[in-house]
Amino acid sequence: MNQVELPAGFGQTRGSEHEVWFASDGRVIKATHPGEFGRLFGPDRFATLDQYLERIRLTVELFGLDWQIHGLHGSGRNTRVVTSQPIFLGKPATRQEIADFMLERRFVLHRTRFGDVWYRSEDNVLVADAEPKNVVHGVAGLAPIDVIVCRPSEELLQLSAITLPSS
Amino acid sequence: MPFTSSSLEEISLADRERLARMVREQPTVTREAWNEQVKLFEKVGRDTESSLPFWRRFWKSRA
Repeated sequence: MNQVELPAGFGQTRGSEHEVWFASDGRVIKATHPGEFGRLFGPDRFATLDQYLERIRLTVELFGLDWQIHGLHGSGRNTRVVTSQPIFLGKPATRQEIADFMLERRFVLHRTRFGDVWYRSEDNVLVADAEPKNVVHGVAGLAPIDVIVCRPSEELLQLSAITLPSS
Repeated sequence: MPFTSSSLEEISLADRERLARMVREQPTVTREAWNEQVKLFEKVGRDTESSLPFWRRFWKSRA
């Protein structure tokens, strides 16, 4: 992956996973914190670079978010992944709106030892961190902007006691 | 439930088109509007309850 520069100065906001800058083209630039690649659902709380890139790919593929990878900034323990995505004007979605949104897409809520998580067995997709802070209620419904998406291993499903529907 | 009989591919495609429409139809995003939105989201941003195990949520609610 190519090396890229970050916007000048500090970002306008910092979350537990990213620093975020406003870009004049109606998008935000997001960089993971140095040496980190976001979070994970399950016993391993921090994602690897590959897991983070898979999360982006799945978010694009499944939820249609135009989340683009720009490249890496820094190296070694200071590596950051730099991406961009559109800004959706709106307010934080409510928990009920998020639940309706996920149920409509055939996800099932599981309350696990690692926290609440949405799982869809049809295509083995798990969505964590579906919280108001990560979902915008915009002009045409909800936009998940920062949920954690993965294809869980059988081991993770077992550890989380997520049982598959019997066929 | 408009997606009841849709395939997963159809659901994803509909979401992709809907999000693209949202970007087109919303007002132009200014730095001021973005700053306001950041404040709004930071107000709910510390709520990470869903990532807590149920027993920690239980004790938190009792505290």
